[in-house]
Amino acid sequence: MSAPLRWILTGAFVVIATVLALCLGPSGVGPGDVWDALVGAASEDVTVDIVRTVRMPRVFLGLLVGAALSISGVLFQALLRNELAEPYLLGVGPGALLGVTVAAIWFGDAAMPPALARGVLAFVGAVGVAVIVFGFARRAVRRPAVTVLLAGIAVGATVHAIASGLLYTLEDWHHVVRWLLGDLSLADYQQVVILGAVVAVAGTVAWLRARDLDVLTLGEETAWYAGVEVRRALWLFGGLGCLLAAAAVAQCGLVGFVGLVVPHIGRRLFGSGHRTLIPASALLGAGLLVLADGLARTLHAPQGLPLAVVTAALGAPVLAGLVLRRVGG
Amino acid sequence: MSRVGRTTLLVVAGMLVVFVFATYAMLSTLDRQFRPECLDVVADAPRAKFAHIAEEAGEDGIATIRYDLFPTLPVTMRPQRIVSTLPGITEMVAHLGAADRLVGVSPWCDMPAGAVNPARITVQPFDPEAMLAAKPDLVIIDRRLHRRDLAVIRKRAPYVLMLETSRSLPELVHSMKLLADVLGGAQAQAAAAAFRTRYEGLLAGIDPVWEDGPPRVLVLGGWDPLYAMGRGSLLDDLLRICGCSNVACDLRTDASGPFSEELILARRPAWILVTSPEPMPARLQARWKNLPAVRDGQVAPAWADDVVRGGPRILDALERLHAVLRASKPPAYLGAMK
Repeated sequence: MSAPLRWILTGAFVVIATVLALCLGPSGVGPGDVWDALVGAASEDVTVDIVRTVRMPRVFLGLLVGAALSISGVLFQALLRNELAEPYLLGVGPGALLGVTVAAIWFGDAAMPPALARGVLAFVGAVGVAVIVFGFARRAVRRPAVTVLLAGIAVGATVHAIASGLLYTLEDWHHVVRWLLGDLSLADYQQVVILGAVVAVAGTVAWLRARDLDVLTLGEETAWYAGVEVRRALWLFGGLGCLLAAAAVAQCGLVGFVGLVVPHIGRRLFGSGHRTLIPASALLGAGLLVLADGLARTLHAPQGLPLAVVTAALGAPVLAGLVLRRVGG
Repeated sequence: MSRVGRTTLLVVAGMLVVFVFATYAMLSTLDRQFRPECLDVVADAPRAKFAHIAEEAGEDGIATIRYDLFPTLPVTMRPQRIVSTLPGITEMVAHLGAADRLVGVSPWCDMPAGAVNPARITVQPFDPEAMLAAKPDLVIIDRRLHRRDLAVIRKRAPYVLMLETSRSLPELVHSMKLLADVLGGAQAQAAAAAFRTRYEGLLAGIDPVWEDGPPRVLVLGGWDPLYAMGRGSLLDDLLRICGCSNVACDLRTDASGPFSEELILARRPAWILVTSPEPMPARLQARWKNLPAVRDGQVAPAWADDVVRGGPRILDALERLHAVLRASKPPAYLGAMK
């Protein structure tokens, strides 16, 4: 399959997923109603409210969360030269969750701590955990990538347990579910703007420095000889990965599998060059997450399902398929 | 394009087509599924339910107590050391004149004042050590208690009485009678009879028929995430007695659960009752500005403990709710306790 065709198919996937997500919902507002609401021809305020204030911000936020987690996964997998690396496995996601939890307790309102405080503390938590985890790598003489992964699992589990315990003390299990299993139910345009800015800036910086990532995947020594300032690059890409994961967690809680699976799909479709892989993964992740959220809010309505349940249900078989294909040669 | 490429393209395109059709099929199914009949309320349902319970239980007191899970309480036994696991149950015991027999209550129990002295026993999760320390001869629980906690209590308590205090008024009235039978004494029987008489009087005085059809009411327990009270909650029963329909009547979980904002907008509640003291967030006020409840200022506080607590004061709450819904009192009246 030619490269342009792959891009066209990827773009079509995102467009179809977005349109489907806009048309999916338990209220019975269908494609025709959505179109009418978008072009201002809807006869009822209800339809306009449902489409413009509920579904659209949710779909936009879903696209951005998917893109953020996917780019973050690409960055961490390149940094560690390990395809199992992803924000949550490295403990970065749980670190961000701990930050969100502290924000909730600090401001005495588990439901809605101010968005900025939530984002800042999520980033602090993510970076804090990343520093601890990558600190292990500095001590590891052999197989530092594996050491980082194992340290990430250990530190991430500990931080996850602390955050879960703190959320549990808030005496409202709905909030626990919201943050531990992901939820986009109260997305609004303010969140879209905040996350959009983070994804645009971090994604662009990562894309502009994609060559450094390509060289880093060959090893730090090779990268050094190729003229890459290794330490600075590690801090830059690690920081961007943390920022993207933390921004996503701050908006919708923990959503697993996207950061792990999407880079794999992107690599199969577009190869390992990061100048291509970063935007491709962003598109694929955006489409996958928005599709998952459409199903999450439609299946088992009127309650809906936690987002992470659907992403795992969609992502795990894909990952298993990729693994089996690799094993089979 | 190579043969493999063409095949891959065909497979992907086929999968996309199948996916699109499957999704539209699902959409059309959902369209039918989420126009629930339960929104068209049967106003007289509570009375019918009460008659059913009374018939099932009979009127002969202690022999009808649901002891299928527990040792049969001897008719002659009059428990003297009682542990209550819910505030509503504590109030029921006090209402029947047995507050002095309480040796343990939950940390949430704050009424009546005389019941503050007994030991505090954590109930979520249940603390078996504190219960044993109180040396009860009877532990009273609600049927909604978690199965795990129920197993813990059954292993350690001499007798356990399971009541239905948190689902419906008829069951609550019936539970009051059962409790009076177990506690014994003329005072308890008289108090239970008076409670039932007042309940029946209230039912007779409430007109469940509305000129423009039953108003739709949304009962929210929290704003973020949105979770609503559905069937199986006391507030749902109060609404049905008043002839209203619960917007979250098709909630699949017992009593309460997360609820779709989209369905709230689509079902256009005329009233929103809020059991959380937090004010409505500004962003929801903007998003819901076209909802009749928000537009007409019909968002009423329902966090007064007598509204949500399955105890004797629930009848006061019913009176206030009816007055507010019938617009003879302002919405804030619902949150005011006597």
